Amino acid sequence: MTVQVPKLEYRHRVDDLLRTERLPHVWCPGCGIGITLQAFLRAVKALEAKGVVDRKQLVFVTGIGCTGRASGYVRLDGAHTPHGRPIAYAYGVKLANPKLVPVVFSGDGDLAGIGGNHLLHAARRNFDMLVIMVNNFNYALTGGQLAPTTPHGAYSTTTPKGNPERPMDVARLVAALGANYVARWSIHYPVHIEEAIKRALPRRGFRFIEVLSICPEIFGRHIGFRSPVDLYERLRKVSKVKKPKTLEEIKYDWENEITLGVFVDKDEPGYMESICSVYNYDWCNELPERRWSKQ
Amino acid sequence: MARREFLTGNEAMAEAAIAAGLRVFIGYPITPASDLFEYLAEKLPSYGGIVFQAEDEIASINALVGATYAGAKAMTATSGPGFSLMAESLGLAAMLEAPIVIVYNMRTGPSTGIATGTGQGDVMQSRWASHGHYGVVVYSPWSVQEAYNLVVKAFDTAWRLRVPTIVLSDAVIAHTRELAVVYEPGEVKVADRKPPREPPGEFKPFKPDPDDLVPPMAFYGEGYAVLAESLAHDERGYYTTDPENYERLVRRLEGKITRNKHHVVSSEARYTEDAETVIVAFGTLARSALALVKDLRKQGKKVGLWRPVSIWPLDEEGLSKAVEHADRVIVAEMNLGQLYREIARILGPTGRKIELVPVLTPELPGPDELLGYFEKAGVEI
Amino acid sequence: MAPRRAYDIIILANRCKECGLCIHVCPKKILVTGNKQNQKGYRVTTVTKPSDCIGCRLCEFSCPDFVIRIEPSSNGVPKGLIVWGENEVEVIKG
Repeated sequence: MTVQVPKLEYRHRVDDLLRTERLPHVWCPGCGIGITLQAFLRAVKALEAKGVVDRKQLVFVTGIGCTGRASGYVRLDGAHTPHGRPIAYAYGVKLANPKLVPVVFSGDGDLAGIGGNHLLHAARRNFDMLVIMVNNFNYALTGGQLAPTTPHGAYSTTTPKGNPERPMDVARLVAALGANYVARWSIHYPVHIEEAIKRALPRRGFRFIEVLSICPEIFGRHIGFRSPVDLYERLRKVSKVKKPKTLEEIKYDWENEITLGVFVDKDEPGYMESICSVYNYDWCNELPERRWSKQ
Repeated sequence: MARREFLTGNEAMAEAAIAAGLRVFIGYPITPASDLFEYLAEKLPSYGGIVFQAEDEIASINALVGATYAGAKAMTATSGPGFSLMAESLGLAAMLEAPIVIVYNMRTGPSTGIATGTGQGDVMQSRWASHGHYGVVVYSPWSVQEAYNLVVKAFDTAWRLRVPTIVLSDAVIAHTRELAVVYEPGEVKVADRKPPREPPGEFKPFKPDPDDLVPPMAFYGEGYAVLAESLAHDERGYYTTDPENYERLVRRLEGKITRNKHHVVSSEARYTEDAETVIVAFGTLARSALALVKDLRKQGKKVGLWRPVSIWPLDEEGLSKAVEHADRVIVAEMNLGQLYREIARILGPTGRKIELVPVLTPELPGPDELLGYFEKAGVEI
Repeated sequence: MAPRRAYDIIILANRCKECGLCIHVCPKKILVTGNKQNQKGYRVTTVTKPSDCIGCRLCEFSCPDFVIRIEPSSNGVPKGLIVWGENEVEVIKG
């Protein structure tokens, strides 16, 4: 029955951070990007409520791929850069106005494939930005080609006989490069994703969060897990939360374990502070990172 | 306060960028542009600017675009191989109307070629490196002083028209030391963005002003939720595949340059008042061409020189005026015909004889050597 | 045992893509695929027993399409509110 009820504010909890006039969004039914994006927006609202972050400071940079479309949906400063270049774009944003906080939100192909060189050097430099990588294990937007993260043996449209390559454990790689914060969760843990972002956003240095995600329409269909729920359960089977003490303990094996958890959580000076140790720019004491690290 | 300095072209172009208000220099080492980078690494911080060496030229140009959207005057310096890597995001800069400045010191190509040799083989690349149709402005100096002036001019054009602007110099100017008058920041005229006039929520980042077709610009951090959208976009920056919108956008990306030509184009004519033959040459080769013209004048030959300073777009009125009395036009350039194609396109319909003298050498020829290339090309002069 | 709190389960029907994740993750199994289609033709999730909702918000957090919002009930009565339009809200009690 349809009745008039007192006008409840019928909006989603994060709608004020969304360009709602563009919803429903373009991602397929059951795609994990929306889950990750919502976790990010919840984290931003929580941090704003505590006065830790101001949304006007954030610059939401995406690359090319399914995740690349996210910059079109968030009501934030942002950019939709060419394939593989969100981290590079973010360099310029931070260097030009160090009070801004770049957040790169992109996919496994964009960040670890074509954009790999920037990922390596941004992590090595401990460059001040948060990178959220939604890993759906293939190049979904273009139809399901092989990605650096595609499981060994898996079908992809460019490895129809099964992927002969060994995949890259991106989170472990970034941890080895010396980033300040590295964590990996999966869409089964939306609260953990939100908490990781709340911890990783307001701090200095290079912060990297990988989210194992489901792509039912392309990757799922290719490997025989067509429905969102089937792929959700198949991914859950290998998503194991651990507290690895060494990098070697971190696994990335689609057949038995992809280790989840917080791999690095340290607070070494970020790139901008390392510049300030050489030159005293007027913005050196207004770095948001400097204020946050006192928390 | 203006001061006279004895500088190389790279040093002068670095000084010019400082005078123009450079805040962020992002680059990658490459001969013959590295010492411009090194000069700024020493000096820019004392002016409050930042120098950053990226991991490759692709990072450099994408970071430049980000820097302009965050409000900073930003520049890089590179050469052919580096610019080839920047090709994709030259298009990004054009599509996002990002006012980046690129100093592009040509060297001998193709490929690794001769890093320390000079060349003019990148005329087309400087214009058409990226995919799709878009607009850029390219200037080409023939002296250290002009290299200085054109970098300042490049910042003005870039920020006035929100268009990627390139100073197409070469290995000769880069490392030739000449006198140059240089200024301090604030002492040179450089345009700034037009700030938004509507409040956040109403402001549309890609809505052009009707007179100059250039949109006001909101910077990141000012609360306008600006979306720098590399997809074809409407005035809000939202992706649209609508054909009319696409045509309007692409026509404007180039139209804002042609509409504001008077701000952009420039050229120089020497001895053309009565010239029956006009030599067209640009950059450092034009210096040899001028010396050759003077020699020929001494032999009573009515020869003149026309030198485009803006290569893209060309000063077509200047060209037409320079060749008014001439029935022969000879393009001399250090490649197998790139500027030549444009000159032939423009002047072809006038029925004039248009000839090409290719000067394929890694070293700048003097006037006599240049004459040798005329003979090699079978072009009487 | 204190009386269980009442929750409103707000569903913005026209964003739903019938992916089934909310239904799958709900620990109380009170969400089901409805039979009414939204503007894109997806059958929108609906609520069977709002009074069993424990407010864990797993459905809200697991929805990729920003469809679901769980709120403490506006009037103490647990209910599903399927929002089909500006002022067309289907209320489900029980």
